[in-house]
Amino acid sequence: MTLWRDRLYANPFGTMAAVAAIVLGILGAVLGDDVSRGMANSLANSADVVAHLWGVAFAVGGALKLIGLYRHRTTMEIPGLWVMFGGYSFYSLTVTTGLQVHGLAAGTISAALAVGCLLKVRLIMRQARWVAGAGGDGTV
Amino acid sequence: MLGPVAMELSEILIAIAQVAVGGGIVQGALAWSRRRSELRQLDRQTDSVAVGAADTVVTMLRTELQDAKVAAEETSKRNAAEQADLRRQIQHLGEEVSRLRADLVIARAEIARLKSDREGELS
Repeated sequence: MTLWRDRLYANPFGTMAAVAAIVLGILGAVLGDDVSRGMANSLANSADVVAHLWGVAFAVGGALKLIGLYRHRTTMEIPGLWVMFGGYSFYSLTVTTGLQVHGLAAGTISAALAVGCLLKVRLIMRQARWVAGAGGDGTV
Repeated sequence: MLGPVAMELSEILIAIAQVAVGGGIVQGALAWSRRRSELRQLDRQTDSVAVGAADTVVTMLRTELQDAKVAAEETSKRNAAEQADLRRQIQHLGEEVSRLRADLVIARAEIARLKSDREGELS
């Protein structure tokens, strides 16, 4: 319980970005293009199928990120972050394209989260390279 | 004039969006398949650091607990000694009081005797 809380307090934004991805992803997977007017507008005929697929991928990415973060498994966190990056940037671009000026608020927030995912990937990969480069056997 | 251009731009943006989501999935799969050993090494290190830190904290707390126990024992011993000392003092004072009371009775009797003697001499 306390360990769980420690992780939350250490990674409030990472946790919430993943939770948002899971919630939005599940909504997209269930509702299809009803989840976003911008997506429905911009994707036209294929919107419903694409929104379902996007939702599934997004929710899986968020879940991988969350599990990886809380179990200290970057082998799950990194793929999760990449899929979340895809999901957030897809949403950002489609909502901005579909709603134009009216989609800027949602587009900005999700673009920022996509950039955050990329930065976190870079950070973790740099640490991993550093550990591997140090030739350590896992001990400091 | 503006219509086709806007259409084209939106199509490009949608294409980028699709590339982004596909690329994200591909990159995730690549990271998992090619960088797994590096990432596992990082996880092991993080875990060992976490376990090491937890160990240090536990040892520190145990030492502090031991110190606190010793200090508490010393305090209670000192308290017991002080209590015994105070009890002894009280007993001593009680004895003193009863001795003084007896002396007082004797002194009063002496005064009474002297008074009656003087009255006898005067009369």
